Amino acid sequence: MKRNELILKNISKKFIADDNMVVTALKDLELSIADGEFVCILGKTGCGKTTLLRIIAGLENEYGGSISLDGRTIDDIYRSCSLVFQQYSLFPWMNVLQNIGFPLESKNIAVKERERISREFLKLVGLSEFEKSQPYELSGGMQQRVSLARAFAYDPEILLMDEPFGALDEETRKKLQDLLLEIWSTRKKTVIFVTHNIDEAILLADRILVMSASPGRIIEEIKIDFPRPRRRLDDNFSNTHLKLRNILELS
Amino acid sequence: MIFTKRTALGLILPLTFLIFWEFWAIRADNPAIVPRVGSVIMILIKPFDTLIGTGSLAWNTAVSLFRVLSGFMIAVIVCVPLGLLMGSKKTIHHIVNPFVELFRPLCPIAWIPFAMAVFKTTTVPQAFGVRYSDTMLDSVQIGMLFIIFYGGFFPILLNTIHGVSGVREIWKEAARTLGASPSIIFRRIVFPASLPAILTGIRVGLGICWMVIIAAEMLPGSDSGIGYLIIYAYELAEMDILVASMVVIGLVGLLLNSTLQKLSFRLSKWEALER
Repeated sequence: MKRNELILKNISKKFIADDNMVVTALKDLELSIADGEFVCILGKTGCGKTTLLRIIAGLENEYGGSISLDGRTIDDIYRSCSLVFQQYSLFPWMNVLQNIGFPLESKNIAVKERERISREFLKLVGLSEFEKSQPYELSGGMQQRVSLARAFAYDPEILLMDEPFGALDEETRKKLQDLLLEIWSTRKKTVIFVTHNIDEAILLADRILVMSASPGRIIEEIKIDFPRPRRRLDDNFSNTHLKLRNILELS
Repeated sequence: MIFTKRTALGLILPLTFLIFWEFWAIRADNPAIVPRVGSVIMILIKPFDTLIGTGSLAWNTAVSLFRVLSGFMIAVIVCVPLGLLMGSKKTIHHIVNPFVELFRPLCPIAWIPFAMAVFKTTTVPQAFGVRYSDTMLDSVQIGMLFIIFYGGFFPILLNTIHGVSGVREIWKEAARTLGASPSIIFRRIVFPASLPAILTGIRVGLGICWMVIIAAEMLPGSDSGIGYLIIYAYELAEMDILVASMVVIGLVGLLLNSTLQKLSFRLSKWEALER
């Protein structure tokens, strides 16, 4: 076992559907993620990838199996993770700066220091001039940048991202992917990034895990070892793309 | 320009109403039934003159307002925390809700005779063993406080519960995944997110309290307040005083509502502007 390795064992999750049918979302899922690794979980809609992230984030109360990280308690593990949602999740009654400063309140950081840190992350995502804006005054891409800044301000060891750029247009998506890679490489975080977009996974990940549905499980693991920045026109890229496409189609 | 046009449009019906009223008053030619517009205005422009031996229009309005605000404050202090609790804790909701629903169809007016029988004319200072406190509290009867409290109870409580249950799951989950404890989630997420609904409840509740107090003051045993002024003017057939009092009730109600509406717009602007 490597230091700070996140290990998931036998993770299972069942839901009771409206018609009292039991739906198995995840079954005996095994996963380990190294410290500082960028892992993409790729799968079609409904394969349970969001559920998996929610379990790691501590948002699902009942599930089977165990999560471990360096002998920490499960609450400590939940606390060292932060989830960035696909839907906009900023608090509309707070302005941009207050949103970013929110996670710092729980850390008992004084107001002045909170503002300083919040400004630093706002600058990092390139929205310094919008600190007094309300979330609804921003475009979707800008809101998602603020969400990123807020998650970074929390300073989690593990950043969980649930298709955070899914609702954005291609250009904004590209910008935020670059931004995420930049932040990841300078701040050395572990990132678990869920997506159904093959190109996005290849662009970002050190390792891609392909999930299949009913029951949700990992069916394939592919290491992406060619250097970043990666381009769609490279042979490596297109080969990997084809390979993943085939796996996904068979899943 | 647009504003003045809007104002002009808004004035058409009230002015027409006044003209018809004036015609009616002239035709009826009986100030003990229909007062002339002018005589009502004469009373309204001198609000500090003592009327029919019961104090001035302004003083009676102040007494009514003071009663309403006292009872209303109690209702806010009780109902907002109770509603927050009922909205966020299912068990408490299951305990309290059936009891509350039982009383909901019972309108506050129906409680007035009961409250008078139980509390008689005991004032707030008297309830604390002081005969006269020489403050306006001497005009605040416990029974009236009860009725006003009851009038504000349901709108404030139900809107608060509605507000809490409408807090989006994603906000609570986002807060949780950003390390917030249950108490921080309550203070910084649940409360501000339900504030727009709470303020709506407070506004509606205050409106009902203002209606209820007028009714309570009209009943026997009352000796002051704008409702009392109306019923006393009726007994003396002083219709100009009666109508002037009605106008004041309307104006005060309008003022209370628009003040709270402005406040609530400022505090919950995000709700209207959010997608």
